[in-house]
Amino acid sequence: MKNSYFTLNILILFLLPFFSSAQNNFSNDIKFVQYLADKEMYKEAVYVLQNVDTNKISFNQKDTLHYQLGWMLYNLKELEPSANNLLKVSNQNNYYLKSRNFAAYNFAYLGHTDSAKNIYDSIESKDSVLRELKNFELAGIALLERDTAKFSKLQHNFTYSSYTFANEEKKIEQYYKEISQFKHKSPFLAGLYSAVLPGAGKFYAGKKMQAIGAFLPIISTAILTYEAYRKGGVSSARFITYGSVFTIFYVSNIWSSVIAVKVRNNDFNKNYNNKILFSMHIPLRNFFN
Amino acid sequence: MFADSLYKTGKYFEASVWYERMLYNNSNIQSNYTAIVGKLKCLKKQQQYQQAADFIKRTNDNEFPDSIRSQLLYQQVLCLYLAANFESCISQIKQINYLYPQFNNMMLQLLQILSLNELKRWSEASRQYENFIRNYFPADSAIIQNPYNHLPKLKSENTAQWLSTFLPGAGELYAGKPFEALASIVFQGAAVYYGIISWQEKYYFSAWFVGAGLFASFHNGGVRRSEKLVQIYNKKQVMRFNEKVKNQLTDLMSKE
Repeated sequence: MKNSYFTLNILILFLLPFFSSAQNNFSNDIKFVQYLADKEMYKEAVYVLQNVDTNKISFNQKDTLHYQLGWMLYNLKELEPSANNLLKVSNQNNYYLKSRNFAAYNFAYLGHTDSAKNIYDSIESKDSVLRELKNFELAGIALLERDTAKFSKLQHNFTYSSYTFANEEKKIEQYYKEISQFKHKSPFLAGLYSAVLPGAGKFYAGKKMQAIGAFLPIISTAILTYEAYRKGGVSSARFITYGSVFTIFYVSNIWSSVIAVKVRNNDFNKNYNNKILFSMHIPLRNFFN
Repeated sequence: MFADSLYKTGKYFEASVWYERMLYNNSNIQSNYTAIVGKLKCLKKQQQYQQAADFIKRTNDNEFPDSIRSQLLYQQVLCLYLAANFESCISQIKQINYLYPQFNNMMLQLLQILSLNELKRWSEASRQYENFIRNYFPADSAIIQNPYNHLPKLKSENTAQWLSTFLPGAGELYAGKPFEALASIVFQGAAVYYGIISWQEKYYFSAWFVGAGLFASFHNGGVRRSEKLVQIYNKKQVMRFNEKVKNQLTDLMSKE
């Protein structure tokens, strides 16, 4: 028994320099990564981190590695791998909350709102400010999903007391009002209007110049077709040519009116999603940096 | 050295990270210089010339002797030229001439002339060219013909537009494109012909909407096209002239 104890001690003494050297190497790597990050050389930082031998580092160092990798990828706007790395940071690490919050934000940005909500569900916030931050981010996600009922429920918890996100709480409320007041237009009605009066569908979609631009050539080709029909009859080459051109213009205009309404609705949604995401981002940067 | 072996195997990005690490370790002047040169080569191999120029700018060149500093400053100017950042290239050369007149050399002057050429600042380029020949090739200065005495004759975009407005195809012909001129005449002529025929056959709407409409479109297109063709022509002339100066200067330097 004594003998085996002695052997174990010798073995530990023998391995200690190697273990300590691995620790030092990792610590140097992290310092070098910080140096690269200060110079905004994030791609280089990711390369250094990806080449760290994970078999030679401790559990805590693995946390640091995942956090740093996630953060550098976040700076490179590679949000999915960033989130995946940030989620690997354990709850014993100092950066756990920051990692979780930014992972959730990354998923929200990518449109994976369910994953973002799941992350927030897994965070238990004892601190009142952190609780409000979580509430605010969840409200942002609800608004991204256009779940207005859930948003108004979460909105009741806004206190506007923390300087880190009081302004953003007000802004996001304003977005909620504007989104609620926005009237989504019907692609079907746009098509119908254009069928009755060429260009009217585009006018309905709010594209006034495009409406005039569609109306004039269709009316012109209609007049040409009528003239060709009156003088040459149905079988004349002129009637067939102009009639075909008119038909193409007429049908295309109906279709493009439908698309114009869809584009209008999409533009509105995209614009407000960007505003919401921006508002969700500011408190995270204020709070965790 | 690991960075050198990566460089030799063509892994320029990876090598540049290791050279950066050498700089970060900052062990001694020699190693820092090796790292800077190595990283610079990697960036140039990746054609990241602007990044290379920025990289030299942020290196602390005060620790190096003058011979190395002048080399680094030259590399910075060269990278700015290769990055087509001609304004910065000229301004950097002027800065070197003012702060370190002892670093001024043939290559810097050459890059200044070439950059001025690219910016079409030919009167300044001509003065620099004369100085260059006088300083470095005094024996040949009498026989070398100054290319700036025969500057490229550039055509006027306005003239091309006016010609095309009043004489279909004339703008394209002026820009040196006879086939495009012919095509423009044919298209505009066909539209007018169609309009007249339709009018004669009492297809009045066809005559206006199709004949006159197509003619107006082809005519406006012809005016715009002739302006574009003159721009292309002028660009080619400038490139040809710059290439001529470049070849003449590099030939002279290779003879030295």
